[in-house]
Amino acid sequence: MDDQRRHVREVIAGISRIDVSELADDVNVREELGIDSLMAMEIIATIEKALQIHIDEAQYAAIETVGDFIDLVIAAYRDTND
Amino acid sequence: MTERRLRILLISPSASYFINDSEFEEYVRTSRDIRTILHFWSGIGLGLPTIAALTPETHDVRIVDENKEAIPSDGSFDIVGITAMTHQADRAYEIATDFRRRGCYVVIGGIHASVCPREAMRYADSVFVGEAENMWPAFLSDFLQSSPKRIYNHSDYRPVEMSDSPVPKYSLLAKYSYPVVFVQTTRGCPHDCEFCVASNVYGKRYKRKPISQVVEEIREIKKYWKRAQIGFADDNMFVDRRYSRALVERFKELVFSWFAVCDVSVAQNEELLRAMHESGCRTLLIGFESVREDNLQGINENRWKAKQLAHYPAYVQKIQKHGIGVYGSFILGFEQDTQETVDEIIDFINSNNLLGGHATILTPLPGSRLRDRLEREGKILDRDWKWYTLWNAVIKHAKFSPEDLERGVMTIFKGIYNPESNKRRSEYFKRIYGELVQV
Repeated sequence: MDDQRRHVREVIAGISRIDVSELADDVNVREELGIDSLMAMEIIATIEKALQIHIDEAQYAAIETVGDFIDLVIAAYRDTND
Repeated sequence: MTERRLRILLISPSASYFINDSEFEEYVRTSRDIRTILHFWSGIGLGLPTIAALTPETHDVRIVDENKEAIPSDGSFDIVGITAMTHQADRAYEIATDFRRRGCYVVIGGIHASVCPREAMRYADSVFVGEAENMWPAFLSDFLQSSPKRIYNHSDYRPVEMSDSPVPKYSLLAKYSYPVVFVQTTRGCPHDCEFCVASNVYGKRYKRKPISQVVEEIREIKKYWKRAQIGFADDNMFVDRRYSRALVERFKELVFSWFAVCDVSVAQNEELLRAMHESGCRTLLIGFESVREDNLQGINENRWKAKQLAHYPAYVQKIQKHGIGVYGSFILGFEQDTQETVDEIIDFINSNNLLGGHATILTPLPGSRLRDRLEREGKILDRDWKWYTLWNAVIKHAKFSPEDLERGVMTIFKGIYNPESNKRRSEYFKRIYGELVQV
């Protein structure tokens, strides 16, 4: 799972253009990183394609932190690969 | 002889959005979508850090953003400079009165003082009209010689070029955590809309900042704000396509995400749109103003906006397919608007999958041609600047009461930001990014 976690962090960093070192698990994605719904869709679409998984975009509404985002991806990865 | 060291305090007054209608006020306060919009526009204007940069290093300059910290109640300052837009004017005058009572020399500038200098002179020792770049150094020199003028007007000085404008002193704002920090690359707009104040104050000539300086400013911002987006505070970015193309190419090396204000014609250049997205452009705020041709006919003398109306849907699609979201700006209260207009705006935004929309009420800001006309027609109901937030109705309209205009704007927001529309929009953009992503 560490690979997936690192990958998610790198995708967020690449699309938000914020250095990966700023993306601690407890950082708020909207207020601290400025990741709005548009950026979230780009991140989700990129991760879906790279990991060959499906993420329900509606779940982004409940996401607060980078850690939540990573957990959402990991859960989708498990659903696809279990 | 050693020059006297001045203590200068520059203040941006608080910008509370007073809303007359209690239901609308409650909605703005509690809506997550509206809070997100306001959050991204909560940066400070460039006036004060530019004034700070125009001040020789020999003086002490401090900037206070009253939205972020309280104005110092003690300490002595030789000069207190205050900037204000119209809805901040009353607060600016309260602050000015307080500092004059404390024995400070008070100056006021910014867009409101530029269009209402006589009013501002009642509260300030000196008033600045127009662009500050050539006036501020002259004022400092006059002040040090104990002969400051009551009024400084940019038309009395050499016309300001963008190369005259120094890199704003962003370091003085680094104490604040802004989600957005603004940069200006150009000034001016060719469209001269009836409701706009900027082109009357700053002229219609389109002026470009040297690209090397824009790059320097972005690098400076990234030193202090690692996570902030950059907002381009131009009146209308991308008017000069060749300049824009070269600028955006330089953005690619800087790694930052950004948004800008522009007109819809940017959609005509797909190569530019592609480069914009590659360089970190996330969203564009575009002034569509209305979806009714009869309203748009009267906005510009050359009917430019009316001529674009038929292209609006195709242009939105062209921009968004490049992964750039469009925030449409709409005005309610034009002469031909009816209650049906509210639904027409909602339908336009939702059916064209705009990323978002921003609705305001037609407001006769001082200094605009609109104010002159509505004044002649006896249609201005309220002259208290605190209501000039664009979300309060201050005009008389044949088919809307002021309350109906305020409720109409709220209805537009509710019609575009709700779970069903948000879900549809998310799916639409996810499809676009799915096509753009290269793994």
